[in-house]
Amino acid sequence: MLKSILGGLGLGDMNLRQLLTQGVNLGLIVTTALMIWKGLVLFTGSESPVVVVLSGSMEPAFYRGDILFLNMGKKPFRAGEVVVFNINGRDIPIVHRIIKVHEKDAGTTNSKDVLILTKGDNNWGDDRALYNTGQRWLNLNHLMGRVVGYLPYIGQATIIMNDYPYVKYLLIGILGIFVITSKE
Amino acid sequence: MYRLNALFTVASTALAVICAAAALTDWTFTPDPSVDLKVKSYDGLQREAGEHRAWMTMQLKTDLGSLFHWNTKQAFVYITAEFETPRNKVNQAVVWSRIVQHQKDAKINETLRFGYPYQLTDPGLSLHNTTFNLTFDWETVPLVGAMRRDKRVFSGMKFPGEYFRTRSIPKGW
Repeated sequence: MLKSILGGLGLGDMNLRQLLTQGVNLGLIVTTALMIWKGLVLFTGSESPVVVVLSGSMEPAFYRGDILFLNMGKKPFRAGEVVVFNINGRDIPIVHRIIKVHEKDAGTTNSKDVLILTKGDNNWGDDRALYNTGQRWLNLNHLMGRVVGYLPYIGQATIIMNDYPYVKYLLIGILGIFVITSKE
Repeated sequence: MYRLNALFTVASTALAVICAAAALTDWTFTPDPSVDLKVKSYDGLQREAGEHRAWMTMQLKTDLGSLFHWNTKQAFVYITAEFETPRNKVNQAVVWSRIVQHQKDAKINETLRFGYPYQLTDPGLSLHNTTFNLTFDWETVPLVGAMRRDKRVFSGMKFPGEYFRTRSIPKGW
Protein backbone atom coordinates (compact mmCIF):
# COMPACT_ATOMS: atom_id res chain seq x y z
CA MET A 1 0.00 0.00 0.00
CA LEU A 2 2.66 2.51 1.14
CA LYS A 3 4.88 1.30 -1.65
CA SER A 4 2.28 2.08 -4.26
CA ILE A 5 1.62 5.59 -2.87
CA LEU A 6 5.35 6.29 -2.86
CA GLY A 7 5.58 4.92 -6.34
CA GLY A 8 2.90 7.33 -7.42
CA LEU A 9 4.92 10.21 -5.99
CA GLY A 10 8.05 9.07 -7.81
CA LEU A 11 9.60 7.77 -4.63
CA GLY A 12 9.47 4.12 -5.54
CA ASP A 13 13.22 3.64 -5.26
CA MET A 14 13.36 4.84 -1.66
CA ASN A 15 13.64 2.44 1.23
CA LEU A 16 12.20 2.95 4.68
CA ARG A 17 15.52 4.18 6.14
CA GLN A 18 15.80 6.96 3.56
CA LEU A 19 12.19 7.92 4.13
CA LEU A 20 12.76 8.20 7.87
CA THR A 21 15.88 10.30 7.35
CA GLN A 22 13.92 12.69 5.20
CA GLY A 23 11.22 12.83 7.87
CA VAL A 24 13.84 13.74 10.47
CA ASN A 25 15.21 16.41 8.12
CA LEU A 26 11.76 17.91 7.77
CA GLY A 27 11.37 17.91 11.55
CA LEU A 28 14.77 19.58 11.92
CA ILE A 29 13.78 22.40 9.60
CA VAL A 30 10.54 23.01 11.46
CA THR A 31 12.15 22.94 14.90
CA THR A 32 15.06 25.15 13.80
CA ALA A 33 12.60 27.77 12.55
CA LEU A 34 10.74 27.56 15.86
CA MET A 35 14.01 27.87 17.80
CA ILE A 36 15.08 30.96 15.87
CA TRP A 37 11.69 32.58 16.47
CA LYS A 38 11.66 31.81 20.19
CA GLY A 39 15.29 32.94 20.46
CA LEU A 40 14.34 36.26 18.89
CA VAL A 41 11.44 36.63 21.30
CA LEU A 42 13.83 36.10 24.21
CA PHE A 43 16.51 38.37 22.77
CA THR A 44 14.30 41.32 21.86
CA GLY A 45 11.89 41.03 24.79
CA SER A 46 9.00 41.55 22.40
CA GLU A 47 6.35 38.86 22.08
CA SER A 48 6.36 39.23 18.30
CA PRO A 49 9.79 40.47 17.20
CA VAL A 50 9.00 40.60 13.49
CA VAL A 51 5.75 42.03 12.12
CA VAL A 52 4.34 42.68 8.67
CA VAL A 53 2.76 46.08 7.98
CA LEU A 54 -0.90 45.55 7.12
CA SER A 55 -2.15 49.09 6.54
CA GLY A 56 -1.07 52.31 4.89
CA SER A 57 -1.43 54.47 8.00
CA MET A 58 2.34 54.98 8.35
CA GLU A 59 3.09 55.84 4.71
CA PRO A 60 5.44 56.98 3.34
CA ALA A 61 7.66 55.41 6.01
CA PHE A 62 6.12 51.92 5.90
CA TYR A 63 3.94 50.43 3.19
CA ARG A 64 1.68 47.38 3.22
CA GLY A 65 3.87 44.29 3.04
CA ASP A 66 7.01 45.78 4.57
CA ILE A 67 8.66 43.95 7.43
CA LEU A 68 9.50 45.62 10.74
CA PHE A 69 11.84 44.42 13.47
CA LEU A 70 10.76 45.17 17.01
CA ASN A 71 12.61 45.51 20.24
CA MET A 72 11.15 46.06 23.69
CA GLY A 73 14.31 47.44 25.25
CA LYS A 74 14.80 48.68 28.80
CA LYS A 75 14.41 52.37 28.01
CA PRO A 76 11.04 54.03 28.64
CA PHE A 77 8.87 54.89 25.64
CA ARG A 78 9.23 58.47 24.46
CA ALA A 79 7.40 60.78 22.07
CA GLY A 80 8.29 60.29 18.42
CA GLU A 81 9.09 56.59 18.63
CA VAL A 82 7.22 54.21 16.37
CA VAL A 83 5.62 51.49 18.48
CA VAL A 84 3.43 48.47 18.00
CA PHE A 85 0.44 48.22 20.30
CA ASN A 86 -2.54 46.00 20.87
CA ILE A 87 -5.97 47.32 21.81
CA ASN A 88 -7.77 45.10 24.32
CA GLY A 89 -10.16 42.72 22.59
CA ARG A 90 -8.66 43.10 19.13
CA ASP A 91 -6.42 40.66 17.28
CA ILE A 92 -4.43 42.86 14.95
CA PRO A 93 -1.58 44.92 16.40
CA ILE A 94 -1.15 48.49 15.13
CA VAL A 95 2.10 50.26 14.18
CA HIS A 96 1.91 54.00 14.95
CA ARG A 97 3.98 56.85 16.36
CA ILE A 98 3.81 58.17 19.92
CA ILE A 99 2.79 61.83 20.06
CA LYS A 100 2.16 62.27 23.78
CA VAL A 101 3.62 60.80 26.94
CA HIS A 102 2.69 61.43 30.58
CA GLU A 103 4.69 59.40 33.07
CA LYS A 104 4.18 59.62 36.83
CA ASP A 105 7.81 58.79 37.60
CA ALA A 106 10.53 58.74 34.98
CA GLY A 107 10.93 55.18 33.71
CA THR A 108 8.18 53.69 35.87
CA THR A 109 7.16 50.11 35.02
CA ASN A 110 3.71 50.45 36.52
CA SER A 111 1.45 50.12 33.51
CA LYS A 112 -1.25 52.55 34.67
CA ASP A 113 1.26 55.30 35.49
CA VAL A 114 2.22 55.67 31.85
CA LEU A 115 -0.21 57.48 29.54
CA ILE A 116 0.56 57.36 25.84
CA LEU A 117 -1.24 58.77 22.81
CA THR A 118 -0.39 57.65 19.28
CA LYS A 119 -0.99 58.74 15.70
CA GLY A 120 -0.33 57.28 12.27
CA ASP A 121 1.94 59.48 10.13
CA ASN A 122 -0.54 59.22 7.28
CA ASN A 123 -3.64 59.81 9.41
CA TRP A 124 -5.17 63.22 9.85
CA GLY A 125 -6.19 62.86 13.50
CA ASP A 126 -4.78 61.11 16.54
CA ASP A 127 -5.66 57.52 17.48
CA ARG A 128 -8.39 58.19 20.07
CA ALA A 129 -10.94 57.27 17.38
CA LEU A 130 -9.15 53.93 17.00
CA TYR A 131 -9.03 53.02 20.69
CA ASN A 132 -11.94 51.39 22.48
CA THR A 133 -14.90 53.62 23.29
CA GLY A 134 -14.04 55.86 26.20
CA GLN A 135 -10.36 54.92 26.13
CA ARG A 136 -8.25 58.06 26.00
CA TRP A 137 -4.78 56.63 26.54
CA LEU A 138 -2.61 53.60 25.97
CA ASN A 139 -0.86 52.16 29.00
CA LEU A 140 2.42 50.32 29.16
CA ASN A 141 0.76 46.90 28.90
CA HIS A 142 -0.72 47.75 25.50
CA LEU A 143 2.72 48.18 23.94
CA MET A 144 4.44 45.23 22.25
CA GLY A 145 7.69 46.87 21.21
CA ARG A 146 9.31 49.70 19.32
CA VAL A 147 10.34 49.54 15.69
CA VAL A 148 14.12 49.43 15.23
CA GLY A 149 14.65 47.92 11.76
CA TYR A 150 13.07 47.89 8.36
CA LEU A 151 12.99 45.51 5.38
CA PRO A 152 10.81 46.41 2.39
CA TYR A 153 8.41 44.18 0.38
CA ILE A 154 9.29 40.77 1.87
CA GLY A 155 6.09 40.64 3.90
CA GLN A 156 4.03 40.86 0.73
CA ALA A 157 4.16 37.06 0.63
CA THR A 158 2.46 36.94 4.03
CA ILE A 159 -0.27 39.28 2.85
CA ILE A 160 -0.92 37.18 -0.26
CA MET A 161 -0.99 34.00 1.80
CA ASN A 162 -3.41 35.63 4.24
CA ASP A 163 -5.70 36.87 1.49
CA TYR A 164 -5.60 33.60 -0.47
CA PRO A 165 -5.12 30.71 1.99
CA TYR A 166 -4.87 28.07 -0.75
CA VAL A 167 -1.60 29.66 -1.94
CA LYS A 168 -0.24 28.91 1.52
CA TYR A 169 -1.26 25.23 1.40
CA LEU A 170 0.11 24.86 -2.13
CA LEU A 171 3.43 26.39 -1.10
CA ILE A 172 3.75 24.26 2.04
CA GLY A 173 2.88 21.19 -0.03
CA ILE A 174 5.52 21.93 -2.69
CA LEU A 175 8.18 22.68 -0.09
CA GLY A 176 7.29 19.52 1.80
CA ILE A 177 7.63 17.38 -1.35
CA PHE A 178 10.95 19.08 -2.12
CA VAL A 179 12.33 18.25 1.32
CA ILE A 180 11.11 14.66 1.22
CA THR A 181 12.32 13.91 -2.31
CA SER A 182 15.67 15.73 -2.08
CA LYS A 183 18.57 13.28 -2.04
CA GLU A 184 21.18 14.70 0.31
CA MET B 1 13.41 22.02 -11.33
CA TYR B 2 16.57 21.66 -9.25
CA ARG B 3 18.33 24.15 -11.48
CA LEU B 4 15.50 26.62 -10.86
CA ASN B 5 15.77 26.00 -7.16
CA ALA B 6 19.51 26.59 -7.18
CA LEU B 7 19.11 29.76 -9.24
CA PHE B 8 16.50 31.10 -6.81
CA THR B 9 18.72 30.29 -3.83
CA VAL B 10 21.73 32.07 -5.32
CA ALA B 11 19.64 35.09 -6.32
CA SER B 12 18.03 35.50 -2.92
CA THR B 13 21.35 35.00 -1.11
CA ALA B 14 22.97 37.66 -3.28
CA LEU B 15 20.07 40.05 -2.60
CA ALA B 16 20.30 39.42 1.14
CA VAL B 17 24.05 40.09 1.13
CA ILE B 18 23.64 43.33 -0.84
CA CYS B 19 20.88 44.50 1.51
CA ALA B 20 22.99 43.72 4.57
CA ALA B 21 25.95 45.56 3.04
CA ALA B 22 23.78 48.60 2.27
CA ALA B 23 22.41 48.56 5.81
CA LEU B 24 25.95 48.40 7.22
CA THR B 25 27.15 51.44 5.25
CA ASP B 26 24.64 53.49 7.28
CA TRP B 27 27.05 53.52 10.14
CA THR B 28 29.76 55.23 8.12
CA PHE B 29 27.61 58.36 7.85
CA THR B 30 27.50 60.66 10.85
CA PRO B 31 24.69 63.18 10.37
CA ASP B 32 25.31 66.54 11.99
CA PRO B 33 22.48 68.92 11.09
CA SER B 34 22.50 72.53 12.23
CA VAL B 35 19.39 73.44 14.19
CA ASP B 36 18.18 76.68 15.70
CA LEU B 37 14.80 76.74 17.41
CA LYS B 38 13.18 79.39 19.54
CA VAL B 39 9.82 80.54 20.81
CA LYS B 40 8.72 83.62 18.90
CA SER B 41 5.63 84.34 20.95
CA TYR B 42 3.37 82.74 23.53
CA ASP B 43 -0.11 82.87 22.01
CA GLY B 44 -2.40 81.43 24.62
CA LEU B 45 -2.94 79.31 27.71
CA GLN B 46 -6.35 78.09 28.75
CA ARG B 47 -8.20 75.54 30.82
CA GLU B 48 -10.13 73.10 28.70
CA ALA B 49 -11.75 69.70 29.33
CA GLY B 50 -9.94 69.22 32.63
CA GLU B 51 -6.54 70.03 31.18
CA HIS B 52 -4.30 73.01 30.71
CA ARG B 53 -3.57 73.82 27.11
CA ALA B 54 -0.92 76.17 25.76
CA TRP B 55 0.02 77.23 22.24
CA MET B 56 2.74 79.36 20.78
CA THR B 57 4.60 80.39 17.66
CA MET B 58 8.09 79.02 17.02
CA GLN B 59 10.92 79.93 14.70
CA LEU B 60 12.89 77.01 13.22
CA LYS B 61 16.03 77.23 11.15
CA THR B 62 17.69 73.98 10.19
CA ASP B 63 19.68 72.26 7.50
CA LEU B 64 19.09 68.52 7.48
CA GLY B 65 21.14 67.84 4.37
CA SER B 66 23.59 65.58 6.19
CA LEU B 67 20.80 63.13 7.08
CA PHE B 68 20.45 62.15 3.45
CA HIS B 69 22.59 59.54 1.77
CA TRP B 70 21.92 56.68 -0.60
CA ASN B 71 20.21 54.48 1.98
CA THR B 72 17.87 57.16 3.34
CA LYS B 73 14.21 56.81 2.49
CA GLN B 74 12.88 59.62 4.59
CA ALA B 75 13.49 61.71 7.66
CA PHE B 76 10.68 62.26 10.12
CA VAL B 77 11.47 65.48 11.96
CA TYR B 78 9.44 66.72 14.89
CA ILE B 79 9.41 69.16 17.76
CA THR B 80 8.50 67.98 21.24
CA ALA B 81 7.69 70.07 24.29
CA GLU B 82 8.88 68.41 27.51
CA PHE B 83 8.14 69.50 31.07
CA GLU B 84 7.82 68.30 34.64
CA THR B 85 4.77 68.81 36.83
CA PRO B 86 3.85 67.76 40.38
CA ARG B 87 1.60 65.04 38.99
CA ASN B 88 3.87 63.65 36.28
CA LYS B 89 7.66 63.60 36.25
CA VAL B 90 7.71 63.20 32.49
CA ASN B 91 5.37 65.03 30.13
CA GLN B 92 5.99 65.03 26.40
CA ALA B 93 3.88 66.39 23.60
CA VAL B 94 4.80 66.48 19.95
CA VAL B 95 3.74 69.92 18.71
CA TRP B 96 4.90 69.86 15.09
CA SER B 97 6.25 67.32 12.61
CA ARG B 98 7.26 67.03 8.99
CA ILE B 99 8.26 64.21 6.68
CA VAL B 100 11.27 65.15 4.55
CA GLN B 101 11.86 62.81 1.62
CA HIS B 102 14.31 64.72 -0.55
CA GLN B 103 17.54 66.49 0.15
CA LYS B 104 16.27 69.59 -1.64
CA ASP B 105 13.60 69.98 1.07
CA ALA B 106 16.14 69.60 3.85
CA LYS B 107 16.62 73.31 4.48
CA ILE B 108 13.85 74.69 6.68
CA ASN B 109 13.59 78.29 7.79
CA GLU B 110 10.03 78.84 8.88
CA THR B 111 7.70 80.28 11.44
CA LEU B 112 5.72 77.38 12.88
CA ARG B 113 2.51 77.00 14.80
CA PHE B 114 1.23 73.79 16.36
CA GLY B 115 -0.21 71.61 13.60
CA TYR B 116 -3.35 69.51 13.92
CA PRO B 117 -3.77 67.19 15.81
CA TYR B 118 -0.77 68.07 17.89
CA GLN B 119 -1.49 69.96 21.07
CA LEU B 120 0.36 70.79 24.23
CA THR B 121 -1.75 69.82 27.21
CA ASP B 122 -1.28 68.95 30.86
CA PRO B 123 -3.82 66.78 32.68
CA GLY B 124 -2.17 67.92 35.93
CA LEU B 125 -3.40 71.53 35.36
CA SER B 126 -0.06 73.05 36.25
CA LEU B 127 1.37 74.75 33.18
CA HIS B 128 1.47 78.18 34.85
CA ASN B 129 5.09 79.30 35.22
CA THR B 130 6.35 75.79 34.45
CA THR B 131 9.69 75.61 32.67
CA PHE B 132 9.93 73.45 29.58
CA ASN B 133 12.29 72.25 26.85
CA LEU B 134 11.69 72.23 23.16
CA THR B 135 13.41 69.26 21.52
CA PHE B 136 14.07 69.00 17.83
CA ASP B 137 14.22 65.28 16.94
CA TRP B 138 14.84 63.45 13.73
CA GLU B 139 14.35 59.81 12.82
CA THR B 140 15.60 58.42 9.54
CA VAL B 141 13.96 55.44 7.86
CA PRO B 142 16.38 53.60 5.56
CA LEU B 143 15.60 51.84 2.30
CA VAL B 144 16.72 48.75 4.18
CA GLY B 145 18.25 48.39 7.64
CA ALA B 146 18.07 50.09 11.03
CA MET B 147 16.18 53.25 11.88
CA ARG B 148 18.32 55.93 13.49
CA ARG B 149 17.39 58.90 15.63
CA ASP B 150 18.98 61.83 17.37
CA LYS B 151 17.97 65.21 18.76
CA ARG B 152 18.88 68.73 19.82
CA VAL B 153 17.50 70.12 23.06
CA PHE B 154 16.64 73.79 23.59
CA SER B 155 15.96 74.33 27.26
CA GLY B 156 14.97 77.02 29.71
CA MET B 157 11.64 78.20 28.26
CA LYS B 158 8.81 79.06 30.61
CA PHE B 159 5.03 79.10 30.22
CA PRO B 160 3.28 82.36 31.18
CA GLY B 161 1.71 82.59 34.62
CA GLU B 162 -1.88 83.39 33.69
CA TYR B 163 -4.72 82.46 31.37
CA PHE B 164 -4.64 84.53 28.19
CA ARG B 165 -5.15 84.39 24.45
CA THR B 166 -3.42 86.77 22.09
CA ARG B 167 -3.85 84.55 19.02
CA SER B 168 -6.41 81.92 18.15
CA ILE B 169 -5.62 78.22 18.29
CA PRO B 170 -4.14 77.15 14.92
CA LYS B 171 -6.68 76.10 12.31
CA GLY B 172 -7.61 72.46 11.88
CA TRP B 173 -9.46 72.16 15.18
